[in-house]
Amino acid sequence: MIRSLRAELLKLRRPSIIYGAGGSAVALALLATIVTFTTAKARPPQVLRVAASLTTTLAQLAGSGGLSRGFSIAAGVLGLLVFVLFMTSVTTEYGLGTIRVMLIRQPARSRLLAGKLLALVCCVAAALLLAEVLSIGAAVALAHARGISTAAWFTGPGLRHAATDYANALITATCYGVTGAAIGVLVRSTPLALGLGIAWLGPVEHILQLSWSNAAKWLPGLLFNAIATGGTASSYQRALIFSIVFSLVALAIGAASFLRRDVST
Amino acid sequence: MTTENPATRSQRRIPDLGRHPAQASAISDGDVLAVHTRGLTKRYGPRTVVENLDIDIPAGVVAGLVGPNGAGKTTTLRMLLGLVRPSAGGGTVLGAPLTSPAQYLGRVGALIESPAFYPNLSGTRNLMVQATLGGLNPARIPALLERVDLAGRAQDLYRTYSLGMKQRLAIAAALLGEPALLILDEPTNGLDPAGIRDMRGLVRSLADDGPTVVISSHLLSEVQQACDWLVMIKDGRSVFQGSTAQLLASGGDELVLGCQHPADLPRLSDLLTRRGLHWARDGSRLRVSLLQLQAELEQAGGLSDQIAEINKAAMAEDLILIELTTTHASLEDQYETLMAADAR
Repeated sequence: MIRSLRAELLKLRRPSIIYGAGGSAVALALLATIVTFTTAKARPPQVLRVAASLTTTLAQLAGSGGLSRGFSIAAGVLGLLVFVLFMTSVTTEYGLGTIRVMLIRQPARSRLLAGKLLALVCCVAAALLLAEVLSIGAAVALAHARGISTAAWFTGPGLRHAATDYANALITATCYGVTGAAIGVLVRSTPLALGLGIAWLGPVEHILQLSWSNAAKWLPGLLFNAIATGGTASSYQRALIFSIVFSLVALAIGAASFLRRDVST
Repeated sequence: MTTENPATRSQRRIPDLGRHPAQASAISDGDVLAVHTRGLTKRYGPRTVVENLDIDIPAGVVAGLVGPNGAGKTTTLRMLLGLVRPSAGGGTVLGAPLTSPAQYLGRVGALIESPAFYPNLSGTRNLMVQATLGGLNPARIPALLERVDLAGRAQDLYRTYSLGMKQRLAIAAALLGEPALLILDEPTNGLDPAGIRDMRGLVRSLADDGPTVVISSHLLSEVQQACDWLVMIKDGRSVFQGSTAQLLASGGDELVLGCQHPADLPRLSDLLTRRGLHWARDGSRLRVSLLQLQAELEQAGGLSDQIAEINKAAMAEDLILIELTTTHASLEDQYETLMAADAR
C-alpha cells in the first residue's frame, strides 16, 4: 500500500494538480471568506425566506467561530470539488489505460486502491489546511477593514473552532471523495461518472429536498454538507454517522468491483 | 477453473504437447516453459473469446502470438497478466500459477495494446511512478531511456512524444524490473516503416539479453523476422505452435519448372514421374515440393545437384526448360494454409 501511495503522490505532484485543484480549493475558500465578511450585516435579515445559515452577522464574525467562518461555508463546495477529483482520478486511469500498467506493477488490487485513496486524502488534507490558513489570513485583513473585533479569535475556543471546522471539512471531503471514487470504479467513464455524480448530488437531491421534508436526514450529499457546516448538535451527530455509513457502503461496493472485475479497457 | 499446484515454483517442464504433430517434436521433455496453459477459456456472456487454449512457450525464445484481429490474442495476454480472469482452464507463467499473478508479475514486463502513460508527466516521471509502484530500482531509468533512445527527451512531457517514442517508452517501462518474460502486444502498431525497423531491432536486442519475449501481432512478415517460436490462434483456439523454422520447413517450398513449349509439359511430367517425384500442374508450369525432393536426395547429394540432374535429363529428352526455380513459402503462405485448414 505504501508503494501505491508514494506512486500516487508522484503523479499528484504536478503543476496541473497543485495549481488547478489546490488553487481552486484556496480560491473557493478565499471567495467564501471575502463574500462572508463583505456581506455580513449588523442584524439578521428580517426576510424569513432567507435561510439563517446563509446569512452572517457582524456579531457572529466577532465570536470565536468568526476566524474560520468563511472556510466553513466553503467546505461543502470544496467537498464537491474533492468528489470530482477522486472520481476523475479513478476514471482517468481507465481512460488512459494506465490501470493496466498499475495492476501489472501492483497486482494486489486492494493495496493499490487503498494507497491511491490514502494519497488523495493526504493531498486533500494539505490543500484544505492551506485553504483554511489563507482564509484565516484573509479574515483577519477583512475584519480590520470592517472594524470587526478579533479578540475572540485567537483564544482557546477560537482555535478549537478553527480546528473543528478543519476536521469537519476533511471529513466532508473524504466522504465526498470516497463516494466519488466508488462511482468512478463502478462506471469507469469520466463523462458518465461526472454526469451521474454531479446530477445526483446537485439538482436531484435538491429537487427531492423541495418535496420531501426528511431529505436532509437521508440523502448523502445533504448529509455530507451538514457535516461541513457543523449543523446543530443532534443533526451533526446523525449526519456524521450516516455519512460515514454511506461512505463505507460506497467504498465496499467500489472495492468489490475493483477487486473482481476484469480490466479489458 | 483448474489450477496449478502453487508450490511449483520452478519453471514447468512438460512432456506432451497435445494436438499438433509438429508440436511434439518441437519441445523436448526437458524444455523449460515460460508460459504454459491448458484449456484456457474466456467467455463474455454467450460469446467465447478464448476457447480451450493450450500454449507452451519455451523459456528464452522470441515467441510470436499470431492471429487475425479478434482472434483472442490480447485477451489471452490479459489473462496471462492477471487483468482478466479465465472462465475456465489454467496454467503457469514462469512456473507460478495463473491464479496468483502476484507470484510472477514482478518478473514480467508488458506492453499491452497501446502505450499507457500520464500525458502531463515527463517520460522520466512516468517511469518513476511505475518503478515506485512496483518497488523497482529507479536508478535504472536513465540507462533504460538511453537504451530506447529517449534520453534526449526524457524530461519532456509524454503528451509531446511521437507514437514511436511512446512505444519505446513503453518498452523501457516493461524493462524496469529486469523481466524474465517480456510481453509485447502489437509493439509495431501504428509505426512507420523506419519505426517498425527500429522496434524490430530493439526487440531482437532485448531477446539477446536472455528474457523470453512474447510478441502479439497480426503482421506476419514482422513475426517471421523477429520470432523463432510461433503460436497461431484463430477464433480463440490454437491452430499451430512450434518453431518458426519448423513451420516454414514443413511445406510450401517448391521447385517450379516451365517448358519453352507448353505442349511439352506432359513429357516433362512423365520425366518427373519416372524419377519418383510427385508434381502439380500450375498453368503452364509444374511444381514439385522441395520437401519431397529433399527426401529423394538423401542418397543423391545436394538439392542443387538434384535440380541439375533434372535439367540434364530434360535436355536429353529435348525438353527446353525456360524456368527452373525454387520458391520459398512465406509465413503468410503457411498461415493462410493453416487458417484455411482450420476453417475446413
